[in-house]
Amino acid sequence: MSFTAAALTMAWIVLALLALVCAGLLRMVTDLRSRPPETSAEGIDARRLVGFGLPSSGPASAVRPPGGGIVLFSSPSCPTCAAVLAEIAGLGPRLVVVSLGDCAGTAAGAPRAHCIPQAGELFDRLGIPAAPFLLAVDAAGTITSSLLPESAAQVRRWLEAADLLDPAPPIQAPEELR
Amino acid sequence: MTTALLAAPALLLLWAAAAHLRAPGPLRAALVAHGVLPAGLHRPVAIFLVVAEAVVGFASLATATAWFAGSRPVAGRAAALAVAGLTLAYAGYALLAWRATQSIRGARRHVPCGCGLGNEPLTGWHATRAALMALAALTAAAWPGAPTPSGPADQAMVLAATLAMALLLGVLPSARAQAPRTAGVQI
Repeated sequence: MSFTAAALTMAWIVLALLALVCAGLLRMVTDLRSRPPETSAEGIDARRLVGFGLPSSGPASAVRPPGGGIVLFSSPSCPTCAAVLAEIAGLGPRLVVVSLGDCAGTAAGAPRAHCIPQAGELFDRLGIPAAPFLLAVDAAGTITSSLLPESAAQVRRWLEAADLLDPAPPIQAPEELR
Repeated sequence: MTTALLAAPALLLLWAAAAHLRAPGPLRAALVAHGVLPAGLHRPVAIFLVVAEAVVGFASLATATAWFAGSRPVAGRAAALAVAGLTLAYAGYALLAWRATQSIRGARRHVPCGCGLGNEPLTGWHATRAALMALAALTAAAWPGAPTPSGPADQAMVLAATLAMALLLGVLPSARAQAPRTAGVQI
């Protein structure tokens, strides 16, 4: 075998190895891109709360929608929060809004929702990374899903996946619990 | 061109030996985690592996250098066969260890490879890499040093092929490893 032929053979072997390595790296990049972004803040990351139950007593129990529903972590100064609230206002009393400020926007946009004002401490306690942030909670108080939405359409798809588009009457209204 | 086929595994063996000498703990811990060897053998096998990698790696690199320069040392074929034997043993062990750790990995436990070429979890790609190294060394043993590079351009090609093959073989298991997933998170 001439040197040129050997070099060509070698080149194809190296190319095959390169293809294997590149394919593996591309698959890894795809995996990483489909993964939710990690927050670097210390403490609890709200996206890791999926599967955990909201407490039935104490300060964090106020965010628990009776009979299950959606918790929206919101801020009066955030325009996306208003768009998200409009998308989920139909949930009525199954919606709990946890606001960093007052509840005027919630009262106007979703009058049947339960709103907790000035709830910065709850954001910290639950490790909410940003507003708006959504948690789906089942009847037992278990967090079943979470979303950091970028658009109203994304919220709708998430609600469809969480099977929460069809609002059902709650077992108990929040006011009755308190 | 078979010079590159021997030099690439030689470089990887020396790289692994250097890593094990610098930090011997991970190799012993990996041998324990694999659960293939009896308890009393972990330390002696770890020491033997480092010595074997260093000696065989150095001998085969010296042989490849001699082939590169155009000479044909008497022990050249033996050095290539030693690389093939060692890497074939690695391939067999990696397969055994990978199969032994399947149930543990199912419990999402990180079982390190301990090969000194990265800290990714042990997979079948470690066995594949070792088998490819053995194949390369066997080819080199079959045609020692042939064909000989005849000029600077040929020599540059051999050097480039050696480095490319060593690098690609070195990162192959890391590149093929599955990215660890976070369970239960949905967004």
